[in-house]
Amino acid sequence: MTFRITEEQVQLSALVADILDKHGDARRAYDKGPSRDPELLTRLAELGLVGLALDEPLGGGGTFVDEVLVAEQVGRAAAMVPVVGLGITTGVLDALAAPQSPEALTVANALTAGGYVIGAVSASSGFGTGFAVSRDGADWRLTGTADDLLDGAAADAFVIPVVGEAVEWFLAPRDAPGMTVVDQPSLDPTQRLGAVTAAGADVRHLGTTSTATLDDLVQRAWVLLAAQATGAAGRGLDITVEYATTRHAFGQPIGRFQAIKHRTADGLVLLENARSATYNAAWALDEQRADREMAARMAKAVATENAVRLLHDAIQSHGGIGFTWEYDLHLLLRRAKSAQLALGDPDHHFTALGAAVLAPALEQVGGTP
Amino acid sequence: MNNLQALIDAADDEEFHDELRTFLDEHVAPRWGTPPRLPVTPAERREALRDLQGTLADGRWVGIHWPEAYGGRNATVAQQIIYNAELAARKIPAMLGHRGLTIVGPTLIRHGTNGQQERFLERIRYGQDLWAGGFSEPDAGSDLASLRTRGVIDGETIVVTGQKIWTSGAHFCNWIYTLVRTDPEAPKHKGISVVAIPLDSPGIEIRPIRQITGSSEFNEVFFEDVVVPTGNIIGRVNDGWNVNRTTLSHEHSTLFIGAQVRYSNSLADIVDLASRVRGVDGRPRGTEPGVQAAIGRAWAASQLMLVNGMRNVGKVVTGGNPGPEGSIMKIYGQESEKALFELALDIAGPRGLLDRHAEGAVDRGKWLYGYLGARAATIGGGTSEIHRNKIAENVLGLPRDLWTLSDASD
Repeated sequence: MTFRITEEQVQLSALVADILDKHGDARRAYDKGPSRDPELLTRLAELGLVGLALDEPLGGGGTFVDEVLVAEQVGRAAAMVPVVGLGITTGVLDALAAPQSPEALTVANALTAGGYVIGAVSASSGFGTGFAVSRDGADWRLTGTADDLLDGAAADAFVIPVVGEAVEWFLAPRDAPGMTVVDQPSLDPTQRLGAVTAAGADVRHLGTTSTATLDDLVQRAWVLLAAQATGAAGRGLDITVEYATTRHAFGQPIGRFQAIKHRTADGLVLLENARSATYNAAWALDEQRADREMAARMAKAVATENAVRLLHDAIQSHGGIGFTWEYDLHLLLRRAKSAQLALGDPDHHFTALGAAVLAPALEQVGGTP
Repeated sequence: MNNLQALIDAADDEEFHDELRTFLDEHVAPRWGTPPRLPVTPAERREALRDLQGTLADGRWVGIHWPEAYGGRNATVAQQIIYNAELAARKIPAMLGHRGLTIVGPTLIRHGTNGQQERFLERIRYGQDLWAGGFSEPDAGSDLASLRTRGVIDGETIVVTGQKIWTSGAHFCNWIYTLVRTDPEAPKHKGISVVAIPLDSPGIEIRPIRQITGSSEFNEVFFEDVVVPTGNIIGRVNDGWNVNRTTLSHEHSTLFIGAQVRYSNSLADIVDLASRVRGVDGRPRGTEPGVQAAIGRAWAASQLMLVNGMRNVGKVVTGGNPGPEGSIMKIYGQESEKALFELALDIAGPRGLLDRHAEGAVDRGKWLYGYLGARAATIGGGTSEIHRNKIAENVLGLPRDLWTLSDASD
């Protein structure tokens, strides 16, 4: 079992941080600009930072932990990179049995070249989106709707599951006949939801997986959301420490007052717990640990809850300036709060964890969780 | 995840683990059983624990972090993890003389004279001497350096007068490791010395403190003109503040294991409790979503203690410095412990409030006692507020408190 981020992974984080620092312009999306930044995504892709967890023949060779570290930096910069959507596509490609279909290989190439190929997962209902498919000669026709696909507004194409006894995966280009995609403005303009309607849309079959794949994919999505929240929290704490050290009141840096100081110390506790929960889940998924589902749930619950609390505190510690549009704290809060509510909120996940922990004892007394 | 096995696997030193297991199988298990069967009454239990510690010491399995020359094994961090996890898995209790092993011994190894080392170290390892800690005073708690118990050096003796408080175990220990003020004129951190004082010295009076639980684990210790040879001063006179800060390298980075194991064991008991106790609707409390969410949070806390600790150890093993995880583990662990015992009592419900002798008392009042006792978690060993200051100042680099600017002695 691993409990350590390697030196190479620390360098990976630093590389991503540097690129996002120089080129990640989150503000554009706030001025009614597009919710995507193809130049930035291409730049990341050229350095091999997209689809890191893909199997090596597909152009990857990294680990899910690597992907999580990239997501943490994306959250930190509140950057316009659809890490959940891309991460789901990565997971689907890995799950499709080798040798992959030519269509799947095309998707892998597009993904690693910086294409917006978004794995379709609904913020409110996960993979329970209910798309259906029918045959039309050699062609496939997709029907169904989902109004809150994560990262959906940015998509050039979707990877969509049709769930039966097995899962059939389809590629649905945004501009395919019968596809409608509507940009859904929401709290975080940098990672907009997409409302998708497929009315007999012309789609391509990528391959088949078991339904268990959906569990694995949703766990990845939880952890990628957790990682972004953790990143946002980390920057929120840094900004607060900086402000508390330089802002003076009553002739003193405000960080000298214990009301500020203790809240900031609590922030570090919240942050390190978010990190521990997130990394632990990433290690659990990479190593296929038996406890991976619980580890991933815990990451989602702990990291997003802690991040939101830390960022609320950060805004409070700043006073009035923390409430201004120009100051970056609200960008981070928007990212963290969106991550917190997507795919089950902390109460949902803590309840599920508790039910799992209680199940053996309750069974013995004939109760059900 | 099976926490203890995970720890042992991660530490990855099979040879060491095999040697330890072989010793425990051959020397401890046959005599005491696994887990060890120990007497219930405190005095008898202490004697049995002393005996057990002696057996372990014979095999050099006590104070393994001590250097080999002093009976230890100079154990690596990984080996300390394996050791603590293996003993915890066998439910072997903490060593009776743990204060001697973690505070007094390392201080003597670093600062003691050859004579002091010969006199004390072996007896500490075997639990023959049990050490109390004379730190806090009625007017020196969080602000320990303002302690006022005097030590007046007069030729070959030092005469100690004053009062210590919150001294755990003083009623059964035979030595007290005491911080005294030997130079009242010096700045407050620079006039302190460390003295080893026999607790049966004339002039010492020990009074138990009754706690909110109703029981007494702590004491007040009064010193009235207690005469001690200057040979009992550990380290240089007036250098006690620095002497006292000695620990053997990285030993603290593995202490989370015991806390994590205790927490996990309590949680397992609480899960069991939630299946036995029924709520107003007649169903087991564990079927209530609110209880489930709270159990889920408590479970997450147990995992976080483990992962925080292992992340920290991971850094130390690879030659780095312990990260902020070390400082935060203390606060988080203590706050979590308090929340856990409050949860237990909440689940136990009104019958959990019944006195241990009352008919129908849940688990004979165990959770009531745990709930009250856990209030001390964020007070003892430095209040959470003191630790928040440490994190803010030492880890985050925030400015020190306003009062320190005018505290010239600091």
